[in-house]
Amino acid sequence: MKKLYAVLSFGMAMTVAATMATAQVKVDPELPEYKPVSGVSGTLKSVGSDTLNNLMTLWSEGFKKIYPNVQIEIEGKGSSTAPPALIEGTSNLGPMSRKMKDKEIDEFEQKFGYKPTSLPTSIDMLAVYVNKDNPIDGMTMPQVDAIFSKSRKLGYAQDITNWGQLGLAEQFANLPISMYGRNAASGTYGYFKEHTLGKGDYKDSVKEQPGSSAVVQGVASDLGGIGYSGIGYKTADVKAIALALDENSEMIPATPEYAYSGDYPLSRFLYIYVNYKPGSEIDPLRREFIKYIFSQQGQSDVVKDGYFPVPADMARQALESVGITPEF
Amino acid sequence: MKNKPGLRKGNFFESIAKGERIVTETHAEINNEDITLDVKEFNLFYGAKQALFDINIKIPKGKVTSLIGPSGCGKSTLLRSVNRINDLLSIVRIEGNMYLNDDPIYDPAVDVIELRKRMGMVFQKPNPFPMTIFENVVYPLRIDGERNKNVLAEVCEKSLRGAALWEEVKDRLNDSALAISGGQQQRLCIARAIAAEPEVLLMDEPCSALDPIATNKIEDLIDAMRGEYTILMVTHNMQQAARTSDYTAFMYLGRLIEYGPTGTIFQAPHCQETSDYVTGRFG
Amino acid sequence: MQKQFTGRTRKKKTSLSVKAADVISKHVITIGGIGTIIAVSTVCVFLLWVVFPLLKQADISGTQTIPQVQELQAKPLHIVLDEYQLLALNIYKNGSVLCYRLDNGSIIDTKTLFPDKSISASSYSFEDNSLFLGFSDGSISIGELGFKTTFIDIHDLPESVQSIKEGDAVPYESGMIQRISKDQYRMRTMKTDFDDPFTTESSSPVLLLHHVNSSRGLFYTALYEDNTLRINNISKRKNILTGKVSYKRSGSNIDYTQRDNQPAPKFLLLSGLGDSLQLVWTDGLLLRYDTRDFKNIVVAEEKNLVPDGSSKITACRYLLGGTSLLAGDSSGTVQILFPIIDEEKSIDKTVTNLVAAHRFKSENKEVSAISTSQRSRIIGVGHNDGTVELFHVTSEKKLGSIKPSSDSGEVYDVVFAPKDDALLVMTANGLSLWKFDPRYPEITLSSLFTPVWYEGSPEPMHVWQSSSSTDDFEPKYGLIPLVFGTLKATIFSLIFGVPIALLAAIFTSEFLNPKLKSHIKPMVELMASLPSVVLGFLAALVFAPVVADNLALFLTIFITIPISFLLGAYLWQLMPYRFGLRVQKYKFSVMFLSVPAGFMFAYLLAPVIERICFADNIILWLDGQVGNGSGGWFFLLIPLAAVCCAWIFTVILNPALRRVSAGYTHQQCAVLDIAKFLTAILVTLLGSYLGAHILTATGFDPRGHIFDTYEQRNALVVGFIMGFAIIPIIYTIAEDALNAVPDHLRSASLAAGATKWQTAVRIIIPTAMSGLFSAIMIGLGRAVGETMIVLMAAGNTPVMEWNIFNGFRTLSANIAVELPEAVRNSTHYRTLFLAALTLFIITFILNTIAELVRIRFRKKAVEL
Repeated sequence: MKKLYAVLSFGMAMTVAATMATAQVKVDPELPEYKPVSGVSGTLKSVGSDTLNNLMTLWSEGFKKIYPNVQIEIEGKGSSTAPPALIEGTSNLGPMSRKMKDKEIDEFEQKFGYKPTSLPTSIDMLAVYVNKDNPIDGMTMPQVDAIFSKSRKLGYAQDITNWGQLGLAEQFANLPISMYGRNAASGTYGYFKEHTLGKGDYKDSVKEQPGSSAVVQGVASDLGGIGYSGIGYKTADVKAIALALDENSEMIPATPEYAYSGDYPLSRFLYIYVNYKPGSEIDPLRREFIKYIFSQQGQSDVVKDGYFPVPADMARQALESVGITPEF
Repeated sequence: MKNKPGLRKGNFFESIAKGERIVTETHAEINNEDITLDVKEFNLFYGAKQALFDINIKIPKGKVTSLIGPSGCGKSTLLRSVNRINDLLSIVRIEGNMYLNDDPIYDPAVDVIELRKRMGMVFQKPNPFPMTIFENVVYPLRIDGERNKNVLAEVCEKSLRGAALWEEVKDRLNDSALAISGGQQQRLCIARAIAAEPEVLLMDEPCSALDPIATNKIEDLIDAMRGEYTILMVTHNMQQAARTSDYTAFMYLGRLIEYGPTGTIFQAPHCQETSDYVTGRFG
Repeated sequence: MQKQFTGRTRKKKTSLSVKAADVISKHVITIGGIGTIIAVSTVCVFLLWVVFPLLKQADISGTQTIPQVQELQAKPLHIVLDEYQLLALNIYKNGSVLCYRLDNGSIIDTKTLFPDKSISASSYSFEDNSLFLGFSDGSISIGELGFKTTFIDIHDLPESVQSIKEGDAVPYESGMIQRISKDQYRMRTMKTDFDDPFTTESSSPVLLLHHVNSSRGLFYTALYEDNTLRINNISKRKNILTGKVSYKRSGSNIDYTQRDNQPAPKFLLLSGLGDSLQLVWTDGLLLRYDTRDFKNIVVAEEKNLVPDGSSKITACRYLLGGTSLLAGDSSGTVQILFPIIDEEKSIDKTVTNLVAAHRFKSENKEVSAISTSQRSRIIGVGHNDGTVELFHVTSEKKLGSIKPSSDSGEVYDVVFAPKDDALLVMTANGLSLWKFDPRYPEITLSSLFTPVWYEGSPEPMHVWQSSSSTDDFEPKYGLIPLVFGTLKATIFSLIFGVPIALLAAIFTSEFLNPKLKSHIKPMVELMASLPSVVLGFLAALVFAPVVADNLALFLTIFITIPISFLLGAYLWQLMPYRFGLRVQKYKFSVMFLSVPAGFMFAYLLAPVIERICFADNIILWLDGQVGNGSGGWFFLLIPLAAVCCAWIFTVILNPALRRVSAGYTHQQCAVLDIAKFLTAILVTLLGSYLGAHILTATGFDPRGHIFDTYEQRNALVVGFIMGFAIIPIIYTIAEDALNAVPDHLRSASLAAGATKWQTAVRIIIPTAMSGLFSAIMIGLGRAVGETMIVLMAAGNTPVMEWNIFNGFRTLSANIAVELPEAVRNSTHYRTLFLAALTLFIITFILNTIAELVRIRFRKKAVEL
């Protein structure tokens, strides 16, 4: 049956199953402490995802503390800006909150002769936020689809335009739903479209915000607001609701104990793409930065930013994919 | 010209340099007239510079009075002070007063707009509005709120006849006022001024921009208006003053030197300066 | 000797430096002027150059006939083309797989799958190269059929291979090796990897098989000869810590009986999400099952694809994305069908109906094969005379056609290379490889500017949704919503900006005393230096939430401030005449107090108005949930009623009043005036009240048009803030134009006894008309191109509604947002340049009209 299952692995949404029973998020103890080496200098330029923006900043700050000579420039306008920058050579790190499209991979391959390498650096639970005064606690995925899309591919019967249709009362009984989202350059936009809208179309009235925190800000200041963004951008003025696959499934909240259990419908990897020629030796600057990311300190930064760290096995695979022999 | 008897010769420039007050030589005939405009102790300052010094003059009703004098003597300034057009310049300061039929002109409680409605003004360069001839003439009525077409048409015809323009433009009342000749434009401005039935008609060198034939017509017009309208006219042209006006006032360096019947001023002036000017010695 | 006053003769000869300066400056200015024109034209030419290729058709050229050895000539089940175009694979019904070179057709590798079984059905998916084989004993095998890449180190290669040129490929072992760069060699070999067949619920031969890999797992369905129809799903979860994988399987038989007197269906297809299953017969019947819930599979729809029975369905498959179904028939027509939601029937879940949204016709040439591209919505339609036509489904653009040779026979299959850069056409009599460059298939003039029927929408619409992160997304390049957004932004900002700017200019030029003027004019011009980013920021984060919370207050302000100004003026008149004249110079400062007074009125009135007009909650009222439309009409009609009232009063009432009050004192006139004003207000309110009720009674509701659901980021906010940006520009130019009116006209008018206002309205403004018009046009130009304010405060929603309370997306903001992510020279990139060109043309047209009107105005003024 191995073929069947190998076939299944292609293009599947990332679902993770594990038994991490603890509610607190802990970095895998097998990951090593980062040890500095000499001979590291130069400039690292990162162009890509806005969802990873804060995370990249944390990593670069940690890295610069160890290597003050290194310059790091970070630009986060959306995942779609990463491939062109890697191809043109204007960046050497391409953070993306979605996987590269075939066309983007082709363009890269046409220029360099080999495909780009993706490193899964952390795990995100894409949260659906509502205003903190909104009493609703959870929704099913078809309901979220019916709110945001005009195609309702997940099968919800009616179009949902105001909060009363979800059973809310008093001042929410007739309040129109005000939607905030990202623009088309964003990997978050694409991920949400694929998994919540079933590749359907967004309604025209979803307000496109320039970044992840702008979405949260919009929802925070709008009583009838709803928006999607990485869990790392949660503030005290918004509430992340629980999601259920359909009406017969359980409501799974966006809390740490469900990060790895595979039940939260919108979990995803946050990637960093690099230009690595297979079989070659990666340059010291990038090598050390990547090692930093997959060390205790790097993954603690992940926790600090509100995302979830990767397990040691994944870290090993990632390091090997860029020709670094893991020491753990 | 030798000093004639009665010709006052002062050391005019010395007095001015000393800052002394120049007293106007006013002929007695004026006291027999009904007075429309009475100017009392009128001084005008452009900022710090004084332009008019202690002007005292009485303009008689129904007569044509002309103000003559060399360039820069202040006659246009005086004229423009009558209907307070000078107010548009913020640096103007006034002392003294003027009275239009016993109503003060310079008073904080005076409504300037109402005041101006009682006077008409014709400027040196013809300035018809960019409208039709008809609209130009009836402008004063329109701003008063008159909408009755019959009234407007009647007034238009009467004013144009009064300005001796009716025959020339009666068929083209709806043409643009800018399409007629300079002389006709000036007459149009006069028609506009008289359509307002003013108590005083102020004319600032009305013919200086016109050719002799047009000038002739205007002068005939002024002649015809005598008796019905009080006209105060500033002119550079002494012959014109001599021809058309009943009374003449001579101004020099912001001061009114002499004022009296035209004949006397030109033939037997009391002041040396007047004599020098009217005989062409200077100016 | 000429008489000399000053004792010197004037130098008659011009010095060389003066002449040189003259010549140099003349040339520099000429060059500068011409240079400017050239620069602007170059921009235009550049835009055209980038945009022009969009309209070109695809490039199909460079054919290469591949010699076919005997074994290759049979009709294969499937053909797989290598993405590097070195090899191709054919799999035949007898289970043999042949891998051959594309350059000379020679066979490099072969394999026979399942020699002891006979294949009765198969299903191939290009996305992951997975192949399902169904056998005559009812068993199914799953495997992979494709190519694999290995990188070989240069030192392991023989000399003959090492020395090939870069880019060349030679056969090596059982595949082809290609040299990609100086020391990189890439080897492509055939990959066939199959599981053992597993038994299924039936042991009769498998007639039809289809599978789909979706985000909800792997779905596969099979129809057996014994009329069993079954659908299965396998979804998996992987534990990345332990590596353990768990599977969840489900499946169900589907209620199906064979039709009387009809053979078995010819096609069995599953949609991309696995939520519907289609059976299609050659006589045109399509039977669709709703497979969303395996415990409750029902027939969703029965549809006849050829109602008049005049042709047979000959080819049927899904388009990229698994939503649109393609059906080709013997008359040469290809229909494209997709489901749209039936809102009435959708009660506890959505019910959809298939609708034939596009049709491609070609006369009298039976469709023998339809094939789809793996990464765009291009289809290749092969006919029985050997021609292949290429279309793009969404834009309905015909990309080109291929006719292999005169006696090619019917087309068996058209295979699109994975990167859409080549086509392999197999006909009954030959095999040929064509180089293919689709260029920009999504764009035609009608797809840009007219409504297009996109997947899933109930009718053709204007949509702009240009990209997404998945490959099978249908890009929607409708420029009309963006043009609409630009117009909406411009119109609303002009409505706010122009009256304020023009009135301010008139006031400054005609009424203000010169000392104050010298202070105020620079202050207004200082407004122009506010960066638009700052304005956008303030609009989005400060102004928008405030307006959202106090909407009724803001609407009321528009009414109370003009009223309070007028009321203030009338109250001023009540003062004793002489006293009033004395304090004239303080009029300006006192007037200023009307503004806070207006605010106070609005603050007190707003709750009342909200209760009366908007059923106590304006947000809900706008959403259409409470109240009726009369409140909205009331508001909208107030300006109209005010104008009518003013007109009636001027024509009828004022002359009468003038006659009546001929003898009144100033006080009495002032009191009369106030009475008239208050009466006017009452009449206006009454008039709009009546008008509102009449309109509501006849069924017109302003909601849904100019008033609709409230969004926090909306045109009211943006219009107001953009007003800030354009007011200084319009003000400066208008004020200069008014000042330029010769003073002698002002003097003449004032001397005739006109007030300053009468002078301004009757004389100054008509004379300065060309300048005022220029000012407005320049402000309009600024508003059309404004990007940052719109970007931050308008929500960027590409809606086509005049609703003042929701957002819009302009051409300029769209370019700013999307250009950084567009891949260079892609369709998206060029379409954005087309948006820029559209903006350029709009501005050009507006400016030209403005210039023509201005010149006409100026001709009149020149006569002065």
